[in-house]
Amino acid sequence: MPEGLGVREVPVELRVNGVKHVLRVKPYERLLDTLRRRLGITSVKDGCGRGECGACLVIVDGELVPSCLMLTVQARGRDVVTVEGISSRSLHSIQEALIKVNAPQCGFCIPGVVIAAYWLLEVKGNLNPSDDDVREALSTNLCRCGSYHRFVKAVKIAAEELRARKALGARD
Amino acid sequence: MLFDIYIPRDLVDASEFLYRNAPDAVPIAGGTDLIPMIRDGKLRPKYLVDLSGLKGRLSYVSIDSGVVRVGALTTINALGASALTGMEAFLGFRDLYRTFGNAAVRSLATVGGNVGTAVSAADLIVMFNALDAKVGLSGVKGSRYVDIRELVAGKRLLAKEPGELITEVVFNVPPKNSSTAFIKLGYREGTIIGLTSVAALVTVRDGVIEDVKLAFDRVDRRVPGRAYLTEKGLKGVPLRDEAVGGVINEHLPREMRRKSDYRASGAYRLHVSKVLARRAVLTAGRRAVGGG
Ligand code: FES
Ligand code: FES
Repeated sequence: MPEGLGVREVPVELRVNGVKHVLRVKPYERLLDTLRRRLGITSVKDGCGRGECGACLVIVDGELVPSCLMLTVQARGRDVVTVEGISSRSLHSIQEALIKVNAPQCGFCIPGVVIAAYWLLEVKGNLNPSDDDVREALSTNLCRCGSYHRFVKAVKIAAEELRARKALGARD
Repeated sequence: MLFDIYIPRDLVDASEFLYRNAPDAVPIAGGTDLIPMIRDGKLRPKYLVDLSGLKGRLSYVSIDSGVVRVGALTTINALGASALTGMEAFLGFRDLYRTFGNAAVRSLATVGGNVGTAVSAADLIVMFNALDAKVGLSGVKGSRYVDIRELVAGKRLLAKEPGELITEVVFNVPPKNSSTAFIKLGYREGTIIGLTSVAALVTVRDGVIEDVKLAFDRVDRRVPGRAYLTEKGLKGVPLRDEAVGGVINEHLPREMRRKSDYRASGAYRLHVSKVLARRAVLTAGRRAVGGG
């Protein structure tokens, strides 16, 4: 073992939901653990730990990323967005739509679903997604309660809502 | 998971660190294969060399004078959004993109990383085999290009020197009236390792297959390879379902050895390989003559 393995910490600077953090992290620390344990951001869930379930999804510099596969060191200097960042004042249209169609059952997968939907609608800017677009954007997300059809419905309702709001904004 | 991390200044620095610390240091790009490997205890590196800072230099898709170059740190998402997937001759990359991992994995996984896994489930290795791609390597003694089949020497085995890093993948734009197709069969498309996958590059003249390259996740080794016998049999055959299927059914079993495991039996895999090969050749052939 190299000297001090498991002891050394690496200085890392990153932005999470618009707030800059200067941290010292373990070389092997995953972004997921930094968010949950150091920063108390618990919307990010530890599911499979291997990029297969989407419970840990976050947005890093505009990309949809499983935070279980990214080392915090790799997120240095980057911009991370979680559910907390898109709904700090009130629920986001995506969350409202999910509630409206009764999509959440146990709820464990929901933060990841919200982030994947947000990425599709707000980051990629596809406000008129087809069913396939939604399924594609949510292709990482596993829901063991089986709410898949409701997710598609909800994301389309949210898209409609955002479209309407945009049209209103444009008229003002 | 216990390792130290090294953040190299540039490519040369990365190579030198890997060289000095071989075999204890391993490069990490997207980490979509490596992190699960480490978590499973299949790999216990002392150091990871983080390549993410080199992305600016090694992420590109260029098509110039009939030659395509794809930078090693190009993500699957970037590849899917590149001009390549819009070209008639490379529609196979669009097929591949759609069934590769899932939306989030595609934004991390890189072209070089996929090649570097050296496993049969690496879709890009299958595709690059059909394109006779060369892989650019850069190390402490300079850089060189090797044939992808030479580089991927065995399961999880790359024929490269300590310290050498994959920098790019290079292949030719095929002659006109050529196109590609990629098909993968699995239980959950993408994330779960496929049962079998096939890539075809077909050149058509007057309704007849003039040239064909046919690559599978496995032929007679445990890594992707080409079905040369079947390719030979297909040359000169009319681009029709029965004709193509007949040749594949006759030749493929003579060169392909499929293993049974808990996912599927060898016999089933061979059967599926025949069916998918026929579909891939016909699809690529139809695309080659502009019939999508
Ligand atoms: S916990 Fe990250 S994808 Fe499952
Ligand atoms: S609501 Fe329970 S896993 Fe999706």
